[in-house]
Amino acid sequence: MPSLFRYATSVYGQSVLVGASWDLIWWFVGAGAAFILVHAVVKALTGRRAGALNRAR
Amino acid sequence: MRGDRVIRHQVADRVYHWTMAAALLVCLFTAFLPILGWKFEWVTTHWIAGIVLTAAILFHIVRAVVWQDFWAMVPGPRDLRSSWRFVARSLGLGAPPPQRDAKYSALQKCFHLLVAVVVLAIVATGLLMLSKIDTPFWRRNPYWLADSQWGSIYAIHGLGAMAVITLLMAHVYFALRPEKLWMTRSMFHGSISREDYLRHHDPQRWPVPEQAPDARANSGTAYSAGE
Repeated sequence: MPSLFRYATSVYGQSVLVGASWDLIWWFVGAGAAFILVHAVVKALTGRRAGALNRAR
Repeated sequence: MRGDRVIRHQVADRVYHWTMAAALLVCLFTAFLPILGWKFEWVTTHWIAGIVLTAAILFHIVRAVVWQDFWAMVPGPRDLRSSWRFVARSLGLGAPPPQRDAKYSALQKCFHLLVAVVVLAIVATGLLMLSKIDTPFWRRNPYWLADSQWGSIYAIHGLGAMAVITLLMAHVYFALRPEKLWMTRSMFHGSISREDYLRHHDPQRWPVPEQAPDARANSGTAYSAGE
């Protein structure tokens, strides 16, 4: 699991938040792709089931 | 209504949509291509696209509040009831059929709300970040806020920008789905067929006049409660 944030060390030696971790880009892309895939599969399956029910009637 | 067609998106709204899309894509490409290894001078293009995006959103907010029905895009109790009926029927539980939508479906309203929150967060933090760069209009002042505050602002901007990638993928996916194309086309030419209007929308929740002169339909003014 990548870290959510990027940190740097200040001139005083303290850890300072500098922004979001760019390693997360691929997680967001993956989330989008996963959503599309799951939705497309569910729609294909429910569409096929609805078609079968209509033919049975 | 224009002949047998119903105006869904006025010209001003379509221009806004495509301006926002172009500005957002330029912002995303100029932000993420350098991170992915494609090095170029991206800052100027990025902040100019950000200003265009901000101006477009301000235009949209003013238009939605003053000239359009602001509440047409806000999820309400009917949307919750329809969504519950849809889910219950999908799971095989006994429930009446969901009501037809007003101008926008419950999912469209929720998606719009999500996009609004994310993009407004990006715009607000982006405007603050403008104080860290030199432009022809102002000189940079990076000491305006403390380092930790800048870190939080950059984190919100970055997380929001990455979330936009996911939202954009879902938006384009739904726009390209065959059963949604009737709606997608209206973002190009503005109207939907009367058959699609009656099939997908409840005329009581999104009333449009039976007959309207072409001049009125093309005037660019809102004329139905759902707009």
